[in-house]
Amino acid sequence: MTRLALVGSGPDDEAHARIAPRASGAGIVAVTDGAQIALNNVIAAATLAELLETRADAIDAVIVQTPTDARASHIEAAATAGKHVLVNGPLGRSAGEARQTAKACAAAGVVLMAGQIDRYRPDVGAVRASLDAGQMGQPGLVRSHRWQPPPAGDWRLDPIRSGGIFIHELTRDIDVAAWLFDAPPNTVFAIARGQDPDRPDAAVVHLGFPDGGMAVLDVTTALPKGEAYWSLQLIGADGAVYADDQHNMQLLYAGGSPAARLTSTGDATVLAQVQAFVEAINSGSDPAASSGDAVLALEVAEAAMASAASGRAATRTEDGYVLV
Amino acid sequence: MSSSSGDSVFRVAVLSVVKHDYVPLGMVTHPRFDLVVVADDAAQPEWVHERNQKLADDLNIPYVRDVEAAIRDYDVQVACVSPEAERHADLSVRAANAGLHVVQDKPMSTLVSECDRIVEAVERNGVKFLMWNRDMLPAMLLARQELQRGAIGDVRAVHVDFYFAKDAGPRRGEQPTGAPKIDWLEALKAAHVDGSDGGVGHAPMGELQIEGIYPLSHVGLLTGARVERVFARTASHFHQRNVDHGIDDLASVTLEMDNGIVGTLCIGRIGRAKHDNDGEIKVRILGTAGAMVIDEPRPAVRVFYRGRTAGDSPAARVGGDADWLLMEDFAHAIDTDGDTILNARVGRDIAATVQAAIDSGRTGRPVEVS
Repeated sequence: MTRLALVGSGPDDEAHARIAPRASGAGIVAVTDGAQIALNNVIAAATLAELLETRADAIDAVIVQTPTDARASHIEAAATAGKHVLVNGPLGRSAGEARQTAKACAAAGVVLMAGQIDRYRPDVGAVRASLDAGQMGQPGLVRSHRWQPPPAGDWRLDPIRSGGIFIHELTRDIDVAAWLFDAPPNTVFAIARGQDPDRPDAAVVHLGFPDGGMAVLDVTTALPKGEAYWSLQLIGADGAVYADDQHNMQLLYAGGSPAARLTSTGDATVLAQVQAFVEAINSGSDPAASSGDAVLALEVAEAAMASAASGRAATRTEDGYVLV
Repeated sequence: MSSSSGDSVFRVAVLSVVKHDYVPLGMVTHPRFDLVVVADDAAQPEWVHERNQKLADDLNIPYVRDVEAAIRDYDVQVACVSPEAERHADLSVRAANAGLHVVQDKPMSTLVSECDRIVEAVERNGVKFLMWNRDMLPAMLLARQELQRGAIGDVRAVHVDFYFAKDAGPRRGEQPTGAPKIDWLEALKAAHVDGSDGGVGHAPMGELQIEGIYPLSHVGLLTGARVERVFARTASHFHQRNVDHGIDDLASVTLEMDNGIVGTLCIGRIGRAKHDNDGEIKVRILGTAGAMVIDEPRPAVRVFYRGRTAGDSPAARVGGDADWLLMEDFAHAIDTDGDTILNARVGRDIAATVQAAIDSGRTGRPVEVS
């Protein structure tokens, strides 16, 4: 069994507790850095450093979900101790930082898996499966919307610590688009909006891919407190697939206008992510969401930030993305 | 030309109807509009005359091969203009110069300069102009109603998907190597049979140019903002005829509007097999105090039956007064000397946005809307 330590508190803490009995070949045995999990007989340490110092032999791998500005040190500490690493969120605040941590993990011979939680959603899985089955033909357009309330936790609202909307949020959507096209974007254009220009709460990233492919990714963190909205569509030469919360709503009649309730997919997303991590450890193969994918998402996010700031588009060159 | 007021009935001349008959038939859902004559220029080719004659026969009204004579002899106050795209401006300008109010089919023109000519003629002659549009569809009325009551605060962004699930001849790469270019007009003429001839005209047009006015009109109406700059990607992704002529059948556009409002548009003629309705047409609106997700084709029913073919959409729009409301808006504009919901100036600005998007798609750079 792969013994996991949850490092830092994240939005899926409760889901991690619920999936613990269901995860095949894995279990959460320790928590650190404020992770809250309703499980018995779990080692609780104040910090990862303390856990590694006192009970390193009790764990095989860590799930890092500490603030983005602290991730690099946690990843490198775990790797140095020979622990495999799953990172929930960007590997760092910049592509450079992410490359550094990836190098440290490679040198230590441990698995580094970028969380890329959206890849493990059942609906995104169905989109990808339709592509893999050849039903879509050559992808032409990926369109996504992710609208949510402001993220909980002070550090997520602080662009210095989280990287802001492009790093903290849009790397997720960029990763999905690049994954579906199976290629890095060759063009990046973006706009960002918000009352405070240094803290935009809405952004659109418009990507071009080889062979005329395109993606439009729309994210906001300005929805009123409550549930989020998400949709993803892929239009291919031979088919189209639409995943949209609107179609998964149920109606509730209790006087006045009916209310819509989203049908939940339970904990399937978190379970699939953890299983993929364990599988990568056990098989010794690269995880599907590799550190290279995570670095690419950060490179594109940085190009998007530069585009939004300058009003210009960026194109991919041998030296990275360059504004044109 | 006689003047109209109050509850008077407007006599309408249909000036060419080579594409579809949905505009003239939409007009007569309102009892104040009476189609009295179909007219076109005598020099038009025979296939044009045949289509004009068919509508005249269907409606049991005369077909006159002389536009000016029809306007003069049939005491008309309104023109319904629906020829090939290149002739839109010419017929609309001639109608406006004759003092007729004009209802015109999309696109406004294939050239922004021709749109400018329409604006000038309409304003100089003091006539009303309506570009046919989808802004009165029930779902769009709901969206506007919710915005007006402040349900989501002020609009920050509008995102429109506008995919037409229609085919357009051979798929990309389906033609044998060395096959001649598909003739645009002939292909469109042939497509008339099943109603998939969206861009009837002599010069090839992409989907942005053919259908762009519908979603961009939604964006304009919901935001009240003007598009200042666009960034676009365009591709010939689905249909060989689009590949042959280097025009888009799939496009995505980012819109920067005044007041800091943002928009995006994804548009394409994606093919019949890719949707269970006429196409995914969705409007997502982000406000300062919430958001809305609107399915434009609703209300609809879904119909399934043994023997249904891939070409039969199982979903059918039902109800709604969209056509009547458009014409009520038009009549009201005439009666009150007010504005129509999509007048010539707004139509021209949309055409300029489309042109900027096409230019951006070519250059890979953002383009200011002129």
